[in-house]
Amino acid sequence: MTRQILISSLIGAAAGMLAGLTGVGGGVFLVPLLVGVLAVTQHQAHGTSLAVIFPIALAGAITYVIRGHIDWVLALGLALGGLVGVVLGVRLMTRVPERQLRWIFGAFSVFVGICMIIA
Amino acid sequence: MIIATGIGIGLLAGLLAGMLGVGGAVILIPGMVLLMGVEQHLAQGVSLAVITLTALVGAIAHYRRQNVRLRVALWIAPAAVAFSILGAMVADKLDASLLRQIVGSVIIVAGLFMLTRGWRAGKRLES
Repeated sequence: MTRQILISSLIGAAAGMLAGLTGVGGGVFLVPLLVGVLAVTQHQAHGTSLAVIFPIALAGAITYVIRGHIDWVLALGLALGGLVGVVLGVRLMTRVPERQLRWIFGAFSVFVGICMIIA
Repeated sequence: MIIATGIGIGLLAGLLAGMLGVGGAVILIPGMVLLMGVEQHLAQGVSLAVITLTALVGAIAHYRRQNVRLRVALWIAPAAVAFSILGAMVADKLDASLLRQIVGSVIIVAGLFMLTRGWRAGKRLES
């Protein structure tokens, strides 16, 4: 029990640092950690990951807002598109082969990451 | 125009998040920085604000289906919140170009992670 809380805190510290420093939610890393280290079922890992990302993102966002790093109009536009996209995505999920999608998105991410570094 | 581009980038990020359960920010931050010319710190703040909303909506939907292990989330949250604030304070002190390279590296690692299907490895552990 104590050990589980300690491990959870370490995962939280790493996830929080990543999110605060970079603005990335970190679900890609959180889900496998929840499943592999904390024995959360794959099914519940998505939901639990989002439940963790919410306070992380909120705390980070407030800190960025206090430092003046925010554009509410832009955030609103992205959130609007994002919410529509999520609903569509969940419906499309069953029609698109997940493995190929994961592969394409993985390759695309590597490309985008390289662009960010050399830009 | 800026709003239209923003909605478009948000739509793409949401689509992928809905289909794969990952990666709002992997699209959001480079979309803002590379396509819209948004300053790096600002892009990260906006990304966190958007993720706050989408994570909340997603978490509620999963919670209703009993897909949230609330106790695990509560164990992780305190340290996570503290370090998120700390990370954001560190980011504030760093150069935009250095931050952009850090974010780029994180995105590359995340991409490689997807490619090697690290996610699937976790699934095998479960069964």
